[in-house]
Amino acid sequence: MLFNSFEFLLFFPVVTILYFLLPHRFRWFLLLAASCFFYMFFKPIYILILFFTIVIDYYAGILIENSETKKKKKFYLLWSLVANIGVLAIFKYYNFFNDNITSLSEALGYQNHIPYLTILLPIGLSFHTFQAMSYTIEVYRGHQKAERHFGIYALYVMFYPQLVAGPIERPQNVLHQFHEKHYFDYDRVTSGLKLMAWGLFKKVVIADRLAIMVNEVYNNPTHYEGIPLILATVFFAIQIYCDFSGYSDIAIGSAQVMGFTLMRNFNRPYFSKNIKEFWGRWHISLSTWFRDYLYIPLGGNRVPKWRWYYNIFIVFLVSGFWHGASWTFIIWGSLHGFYQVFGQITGKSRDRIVDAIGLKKLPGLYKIIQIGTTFVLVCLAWVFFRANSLSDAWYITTHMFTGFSQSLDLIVHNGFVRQRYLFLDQTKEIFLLSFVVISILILIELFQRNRSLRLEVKKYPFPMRLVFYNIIILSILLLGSFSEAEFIYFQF
Amino acid sequence: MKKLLFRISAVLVTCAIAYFVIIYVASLTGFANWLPNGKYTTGKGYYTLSRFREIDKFSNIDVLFLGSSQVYRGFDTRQFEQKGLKAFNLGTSAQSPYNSYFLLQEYLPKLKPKYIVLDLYWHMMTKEDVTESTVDLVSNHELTDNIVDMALTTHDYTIISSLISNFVSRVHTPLTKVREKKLPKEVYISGGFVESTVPEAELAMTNPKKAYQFRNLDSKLKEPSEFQLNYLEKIIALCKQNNTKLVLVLLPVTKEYKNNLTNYNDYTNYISTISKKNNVPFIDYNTRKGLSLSSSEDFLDKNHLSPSGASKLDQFVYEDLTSLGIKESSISSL
Repeated sequence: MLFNSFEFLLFFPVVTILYFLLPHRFRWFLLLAASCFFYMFFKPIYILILFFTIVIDYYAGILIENSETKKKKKFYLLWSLVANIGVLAIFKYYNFFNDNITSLSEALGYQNHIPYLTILLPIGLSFHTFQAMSYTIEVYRGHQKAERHFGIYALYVMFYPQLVAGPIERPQNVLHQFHEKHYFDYDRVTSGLKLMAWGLFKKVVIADRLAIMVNEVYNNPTHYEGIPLILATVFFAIQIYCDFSGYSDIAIGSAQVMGFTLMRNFNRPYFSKNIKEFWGRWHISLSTWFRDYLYIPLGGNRVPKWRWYYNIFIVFLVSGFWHGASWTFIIWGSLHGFYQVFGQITGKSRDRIVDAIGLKKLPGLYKIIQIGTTFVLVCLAWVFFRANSLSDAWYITTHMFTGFSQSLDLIVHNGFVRQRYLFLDQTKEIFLLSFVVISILILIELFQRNRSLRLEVKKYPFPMRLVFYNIIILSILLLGSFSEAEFIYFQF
Repeated sequence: MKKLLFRISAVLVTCAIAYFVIIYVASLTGFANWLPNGKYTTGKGYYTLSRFREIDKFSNIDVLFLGSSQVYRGFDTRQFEQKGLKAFNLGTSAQSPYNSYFLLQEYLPKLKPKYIVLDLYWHMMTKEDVTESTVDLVSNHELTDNIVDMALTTHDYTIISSLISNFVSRVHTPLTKVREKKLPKEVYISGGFVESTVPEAELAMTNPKKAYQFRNLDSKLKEPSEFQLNYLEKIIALCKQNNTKLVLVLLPVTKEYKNNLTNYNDYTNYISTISKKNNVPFIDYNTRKGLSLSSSEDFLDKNHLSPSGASKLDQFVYEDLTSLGIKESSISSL
């Protein structure tokens, strides 16, 4: 079920009302049943994969805790990790590896006889697999007690708000909340609803509107060069942010309505001054997952320098691969790894240059340049993330800054070309409207630097708040795109 | 809980009121273009309004043409009139079989055509998104049961919202009072044809310069969508029920465009299979023997005919309809 669907508009209030009406001891069952129903709306049969990993990890957790020797604990942890990674490998990466083996064999003059699997990738597989893995690892590390209530453990993996696209939670943060009794609290419920409304605004008014233009260009990149390629790439950067952070806001907001606290997943990432900071603000639940379960076990920064750079690069390479079984994602991850390592190596020299030209005396300008540079680097990497193939990505990166005079001439003199190449096949009004909503997003993000918009709104009397609620709901109804668009991150 | 329910109700009621007020004010002030979900294109289509205003004057016609913009630029009804066939061109922008089906529901009983010529241009057969064409029809047609059904059947919020916008905007400006926007170098011809007034010599000069059009040539056609195929089947069944003969056609595109398509034959074979299965004739005017069209003079762009192109095409269409028996059926009905 999609958060931006008519079905969810009915599902959410029904589940929430039943949740508060039911006695506490039955609530876990309601949430588990609702989560199963929510997931089965996509493809019912795939719930069996979830059940498989849930059963394995549930018993693995208990066996790890009950084992007396470290060797045994490790054995059961490995058992759980192999099961989880095995499921990922089969459903997500099998055909990718098979494709590459085929290409390699052909190049060497052999034939590959390994059969292809004609299966669809289960929705949100990477998210709930990672969440399940964090449980057994934390039990192994002794940071979390093994959960003995099977239903509650299943709910930890399947909790519907964050089941298909995160945030990827940790057991220490969430598991105990399923045991606690939550009471109806007007302020908390309305605060959650406001966050949901803002998330929906970001998704349907900004992300899905921009998606129409981005798809036009990225699905036919060779039809364009210069301005449209740049515009589409910048629009994609905004689209993916609003799409994913919109999802996270709806997830966190809907959980909050029922009394659950989920971790923050985005913190105004496009205001980052460097790539390292960007990753501290973008998809926080995933980057901290990689930090805790990959980067630190690899040795983190407490190793020789070359090894540290290697650790950083590997983490980003794996992160790219986590996003998708395609070379475009691997290049995207590697680019970010390269940015980070390059940033570390050149950090001191860049500081000296900035000092020498006196830029530090103008901190405001320096900050703008840093934010701008980071945004440009992130956008260049997004090209590989969004492009349908490596050749498309290559075409886009090599044609972004060409054909300006020719395009400008056509844009000025021909209305048809203007609409197609400048307005990306939209009307002038809809194209300009995109800038209006992006400006609103930037203003609100700036406002939220030290303050919470929800808390600020709460200070006003109800009639004033009513106007605010009307504006956001009417914007969604009048400006939103409702073309059954899934959230981008569902495919991961 | 009571407080929350009361406040949610207050928000919903005020939103509903504000929604209608905004749409009404937007339609009064011309601000509707800024509301992607409150839009209507009344009087701003390619003479869709004129076509619907005129159609009520027609009845018991010989041939009705249906399809997208290629149709209203390809079938010049005057040519058929001259040869004794009463024709109406009901082509509208981006009209797909989905739209044609509802238009037929509306007009088959009134027009009682003997023959229906339905164009199956691939872009219309492969598309799932019918927003553009449906908003055009909802905006320029009276909101009859069939048109409202068409809008609601899509389950598309933008279209349903457009239906509401049209309903609200007609409170102050009924459709009869709307002035249709005249397009430069385009004239509406009685019977539904849209004639370009760009001289052929000018076309011959400007067409080769339209390099951007030839950069955007498709190379591979998608498969027809299940959604559109379903409505094509419904059209075939509706015509059979009403004893109206249906002819499926593919109107010509420029040679450059056709030759660039690597799977053109797959598409036409697909349509041929449907045609044979349902015993409905199918004529592909891209491969029709004898029909020779010049890309620079007989086309306005890669896929729309100029008046000279339409004139050449219509000779062949007339011959084909005659060979299918349209004349005999006209005489026998007298």
